Amino acid sequence: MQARVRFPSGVQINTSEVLTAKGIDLYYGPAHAVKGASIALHRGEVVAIMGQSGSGKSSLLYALAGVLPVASGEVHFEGRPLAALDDEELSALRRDRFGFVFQYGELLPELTVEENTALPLRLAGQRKAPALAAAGEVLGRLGLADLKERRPSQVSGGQNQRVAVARALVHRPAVVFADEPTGSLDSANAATVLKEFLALARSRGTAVVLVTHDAKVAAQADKRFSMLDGELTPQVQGEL
Amino acid sequence: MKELLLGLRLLLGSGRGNRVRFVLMTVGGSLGVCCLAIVMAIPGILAAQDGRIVGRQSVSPTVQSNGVIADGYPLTLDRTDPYGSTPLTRVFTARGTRSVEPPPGLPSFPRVGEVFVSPQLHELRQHNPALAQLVPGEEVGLIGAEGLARPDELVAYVGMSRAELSGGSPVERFGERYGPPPTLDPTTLGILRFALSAVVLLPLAVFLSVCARLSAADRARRLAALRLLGLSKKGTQRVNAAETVAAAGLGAILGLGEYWAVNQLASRVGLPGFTWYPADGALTFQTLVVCLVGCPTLAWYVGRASAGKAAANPLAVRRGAVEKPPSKWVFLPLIAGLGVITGYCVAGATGHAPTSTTVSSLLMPLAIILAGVGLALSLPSLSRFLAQRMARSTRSLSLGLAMRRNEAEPGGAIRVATGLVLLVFAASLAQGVVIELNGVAKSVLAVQTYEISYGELSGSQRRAVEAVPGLRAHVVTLRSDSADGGAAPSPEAVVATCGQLRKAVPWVKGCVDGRPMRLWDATQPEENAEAGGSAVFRLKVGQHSRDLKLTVPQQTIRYSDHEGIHVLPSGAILVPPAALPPNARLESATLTLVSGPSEKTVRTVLDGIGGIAPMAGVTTPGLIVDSFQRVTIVRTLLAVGMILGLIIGVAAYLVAATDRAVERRPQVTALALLGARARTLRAVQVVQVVLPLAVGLVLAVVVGKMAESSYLVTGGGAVFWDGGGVPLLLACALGVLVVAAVGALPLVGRRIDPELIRRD
Repeated sequence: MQARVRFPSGVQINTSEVLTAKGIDLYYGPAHAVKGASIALHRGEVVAIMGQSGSGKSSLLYALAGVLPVASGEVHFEGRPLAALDDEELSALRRDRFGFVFQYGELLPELTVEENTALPLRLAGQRKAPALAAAGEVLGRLGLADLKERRPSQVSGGQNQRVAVARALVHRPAVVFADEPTGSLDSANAATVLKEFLALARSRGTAVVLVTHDAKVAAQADKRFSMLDGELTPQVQGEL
Repeated sequence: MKELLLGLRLLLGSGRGNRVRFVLMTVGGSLGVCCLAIVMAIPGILAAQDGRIVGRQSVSPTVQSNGVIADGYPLTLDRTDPYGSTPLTRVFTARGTRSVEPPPGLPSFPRVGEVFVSPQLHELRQHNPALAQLVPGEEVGLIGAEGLARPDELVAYVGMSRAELSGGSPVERFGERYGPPPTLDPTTLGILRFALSAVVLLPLAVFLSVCARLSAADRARRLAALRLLGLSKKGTQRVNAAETVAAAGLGAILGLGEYWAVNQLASRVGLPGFTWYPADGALTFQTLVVCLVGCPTLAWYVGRASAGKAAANPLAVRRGAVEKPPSKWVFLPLIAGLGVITGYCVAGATGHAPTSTTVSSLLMPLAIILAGVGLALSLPSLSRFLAQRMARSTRSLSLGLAMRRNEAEPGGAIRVATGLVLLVFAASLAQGVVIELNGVAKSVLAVQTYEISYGELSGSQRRAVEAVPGLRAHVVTLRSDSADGGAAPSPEAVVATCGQLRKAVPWVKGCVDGRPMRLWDATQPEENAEAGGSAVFRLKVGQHSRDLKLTVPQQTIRYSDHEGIHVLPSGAILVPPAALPPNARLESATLTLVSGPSEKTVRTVLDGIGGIAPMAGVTTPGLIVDSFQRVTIVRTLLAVGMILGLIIGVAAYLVAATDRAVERRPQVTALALLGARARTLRAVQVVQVVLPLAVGLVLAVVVGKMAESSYLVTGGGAVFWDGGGVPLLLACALGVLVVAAVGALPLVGRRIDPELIRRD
């Protein structure tokens, strides 16, 4: 199941299936948060999951990332079932192959912008100097090179979120899970951050799972799904 | 008022986290109030005990104008002797014809052959019937609490006939205005209170500060929101103060209840060397006022002050501005305190110990307080300084993350551990107090001697007593029965071998075993007879008395006795044991035992003798048994203080560490989601507490030992530096580090909960 597609940016990417979920169910006590969801994510593909607060979209995202254990169904990453991995292997997967962008960035306030960005590389065992150099390169591509010595509290909310994007992509992950990545930003900032995020992800061949309740954000995705009361439904092209 | 109500409304309506924090504040406050009440109650307990001792002192009737005391009053004779290392007070009484109120705790004066004993002595008599010789008579009752200083006191009222008690004093009533010296003199009591305050109240202040700052960031944001909504600056502070006052007030009531329970329990169980009656520790009006009014008042100011930042700059708080680096002025108290302490240390080391006690009595405590407070204040700055440098230089991710955290929030990191640091500092000070009191209690002599009348010991008892652990030597001294009865000095005889002599004194020359010789110490005034004179010593052989006539020999043993104490009388005749008739009993001899002077050895020996021959009268030159009891009491109270301080310190640590971990949960969750290994997170958690704590502990040990040394220099004692306490202190510091490290581990959970970073 291999294909080569040409994105509007002109970059050619191998679009083999990188992440698949089949009929997954997730419960919080008696509450059935995710009901038999199935999804397939290809390399370099951006998939948006839309839905209102409490619809189960974030739960699905963390289930796809192997953070929340599923009650039934299967999640495979590059053909390997996540359920077969132990805690250490799941940590390694998140560290080396996944990236995360959270609604509020969740940068460590005590680290500089550059150190925050380099964190995934440092966690993966890379030495300090090359990790900081790689972080500097990504920050430069996002226009944040001048801010690298600052702390998160010393930059704006939009800049913080761009740093979070840089952190998610610095180690060239296969998949980035973004939970309302622009939810805390105004529309102008949100548009900028999202544009830069998706451009950088596509340029690196990274697949993105984007959870949002914003139709404008979802419109940037290659595929869109909607989530209602735990049920995942694909949206047809143009349907928002 | 509306702000106070709003504060209470917010408290009642807040979430589970805030209610938990309020409960912690209340429990912390109650613990603090309980400790405060304990510290405040100690003088009262001691005063009540001393009051009862004074209350049982006999008052003699007034001497009539003709110089004669009216007849018919009861007679009493007090004797206090060591029973082991515990004082045993015997009051011999003889009834008179006049009606006099009996001593407190007794229904009446004991009749001839009757005896009233304290409950503890009653117990001892049950297990050791031989005590009947020491406390002769039929036990007709127990002495009531009003007649005893402490429940474990050894006291007996022994009824005798007036003829037997001819040496007694007439008694008009009991309750002398001036009794014996108090258990702890005012100076010792002051030192004890100061040390206890340092040991208990410094960690307590940290604990309360920790409790007041729980969930500080969340609360500050909430207060800042209220301020932005239009609440005045003062109003915002009052809202916060309402919560702290409510916690302090409730905590004060609970704390007094806890104290009541502790007093009831501890007074019944007793502490080693220190017991009291529950009524002695009853809450006083002063304690109630301080706890019920003082604590909430203090909380009001603390609550207002802690909301100052949110009230003054709400926008900065809402934006989560970076914590300001600590001011450099925080070093001032430490520098000032250390300056004075160092000055005293140098003065002591160079032999210029201060003689002005007035200046030192003010300056020394001030310096210790400044050093302690300075230690707590300057630790964040030191921690930040070190963290900055380590974060830059380290290649380790865990260390880097931990140090960056400490750099960004030095106050938070060190606040967790300050209680434990101060405890180690105070422990050092407590060691100083014990050393100082030991210096007062222990004999300044090179050896300690114990003199027992030979006639009071059976043969087996004598042999057992001579073998008591801790003894270096024993000699038997015989006083001669001078035949002429004149003024000429009568020589004494020492029954010992050369080996025993050498053990008894530092230097012996010319001793030949098996031959009577004359003992001569050039440094002693020679009061005994000259060589060539004779002396008669009365012995008992079987049922018959027999005189042993000895001529003072020409051959002389030169020896040098211990400085300040004479084990052997110079000029005495050394009699080899083999020279005595077989089966001779030395009824009038004195057995002199010799041991080292250390308190532990003396206690061991006294307890050993007490166990073997409880009725034997033991004279201990240069030693006051009461001082042992005083040291025991002080040690016990300081140990109680240390335990309380430890409980408070550990509680403060756990509460602060948990609170900090809870506040950090979103960041830790984010790190875990990014793939951080559990061991990395744990290492960060441990390192960020252990490193500043280690720095603090090293400082506490150094500053504490210096403070202890300067305290000893100003105390007037002979010991200025005690290296013996250092291993214990280091062991405590290491223990604290281990506890802190282990305590930090469970705060990193294995389960990742994405909900912690979702705020929509």
